[in-house]
Amino acid sequence: MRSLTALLVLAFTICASPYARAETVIATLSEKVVEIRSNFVGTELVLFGSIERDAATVGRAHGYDVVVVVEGPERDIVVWQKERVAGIWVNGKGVEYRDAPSYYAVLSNRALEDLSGPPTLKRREIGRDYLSFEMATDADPETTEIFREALLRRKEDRTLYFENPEAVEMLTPRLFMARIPLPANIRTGGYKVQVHVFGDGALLTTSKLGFWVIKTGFEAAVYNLAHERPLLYGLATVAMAFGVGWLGSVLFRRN
Amino acid sequence: MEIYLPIAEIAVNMFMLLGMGAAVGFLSGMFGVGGGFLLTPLLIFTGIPPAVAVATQTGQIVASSVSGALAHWRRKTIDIALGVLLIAGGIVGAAIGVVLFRLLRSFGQLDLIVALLYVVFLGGVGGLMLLESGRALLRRRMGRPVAARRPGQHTWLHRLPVKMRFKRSKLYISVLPVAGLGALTGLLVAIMGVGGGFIMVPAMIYLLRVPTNVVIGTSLFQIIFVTAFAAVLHAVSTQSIDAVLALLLMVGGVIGAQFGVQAGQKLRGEHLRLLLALLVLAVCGRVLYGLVATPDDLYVLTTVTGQVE
Repeated sequence: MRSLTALLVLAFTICASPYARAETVIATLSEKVVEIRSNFVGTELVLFGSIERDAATVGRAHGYDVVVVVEGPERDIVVWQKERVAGIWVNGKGVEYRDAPSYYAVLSNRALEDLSGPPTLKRREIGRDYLSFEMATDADPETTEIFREALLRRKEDRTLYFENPEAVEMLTPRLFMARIPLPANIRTGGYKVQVHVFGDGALLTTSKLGFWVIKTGFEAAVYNLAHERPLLYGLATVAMAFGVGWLGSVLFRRN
Repeated sequence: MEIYLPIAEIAVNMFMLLGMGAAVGFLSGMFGVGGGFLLTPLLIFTGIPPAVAVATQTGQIVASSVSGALAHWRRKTIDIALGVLLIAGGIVGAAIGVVLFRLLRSFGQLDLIVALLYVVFLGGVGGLMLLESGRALLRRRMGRPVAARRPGQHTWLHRLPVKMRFKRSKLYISVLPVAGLGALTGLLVAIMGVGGGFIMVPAMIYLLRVPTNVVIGTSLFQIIFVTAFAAVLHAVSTQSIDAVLALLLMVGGVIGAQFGVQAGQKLRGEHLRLLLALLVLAVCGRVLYGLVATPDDLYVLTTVTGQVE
């Protein structure tokens, strides 16, 4: 009777435990904080990961696939459609989006459509085609699609949104590395990183981590002063202008 | 060498900014203009967000005007009373301008309005200058003397009430057109990121009949305070002044201006005005082209407050 109870408890634990899945993934980033200084022209983070498997799990027939999704700080965005009025291009219709990621990168070891199916990708918002945006403006389905595509395209033009099916390198069948490029025009704030592991088309496990992009040193001082003490900042800028102007007239005085 | 601009939030080549400041400083020294009308569009063409370009320029113009005004101060060619009245009008105009600036930005129409104002004002002033200098050159070529202006002539502006005496300008006129002119240029300072000298100087000469020798000094004197006021307002209200960008432009501008003044002394007045007119019209044409040409992509992104993403 006692052994039966123990068996039931064990079975219950296995079913309820989040670790009941056979695979887990452990990942780490080369840096937890990316600092923006005056010489910042973009950088690259390296992510290392390992797929762990408990003793009872057999290997997958076709090995593992890894997808790394990086999302930058969210912010409300308006997409404007230019219209020609009397020969001049003006901002016409505008559609507002709530909390659109400022940066969205999908890195994988092969093409997304090869490693899983649309239902899974859609559920996890993996890939530009499956990323969903919350609209704050009412629009018909056709307009919605046009503006959504415009938002994605404009972000892609500035390399703030991208997919790279070759950015994850499988070092061994269970050990991988990914390079995350961060361009010079990235926003400051918290970045979310999700590491998804797929096997035979199914999502096996996900690990979440993150990093911060912050301005430091002089850049941060200027930025913070401008936003926290704007009056002082404005007066200081004007004082600097008077200084430079006066200096110029003294240095180059023509008599 | 790339430098990251903390408010514009982009990396730009430092020497390009210094060079741009110097080139515009050279031209402004040569022609005796502030150069804001050149530098603001140039900054926008290089990819600086228009809001940052305009706001930062207000700070940069302070530096170049201080340099110029100090030289006039030593020569006593500033009418302080007239300047103070222009400043009073200018401060009101700049305050209205900054409010409008914010409003236009939130409607996503700031860039359009700035560009349209540039086309209208540069086109108008450039066209008039081209006509005037062309005529003067023709007259000189035909051997006729350049017609002297008649300082005693009065216009309807001189019949307005609330008159005041301006000693150094030898004027007795109503304060209304003076304050009004100040307010108009103040408005342009805040919205266009220019000093307004290109409106102020001709208006003082042709409308208010201020003697030419005090026009430039007085105009520079009022530009200092109106742009300084606009800069502080921009800092508080739109937070789009980039001090690093401003400093680079100021340093380049102040140095360039010195060489420009020397170059300008070698050219004759009509030639200078003709060249300046062509330059103004060229900038006007470039801005107009930007408005009319079909953009590569018909969609643009901004934040909710209208900042270009």
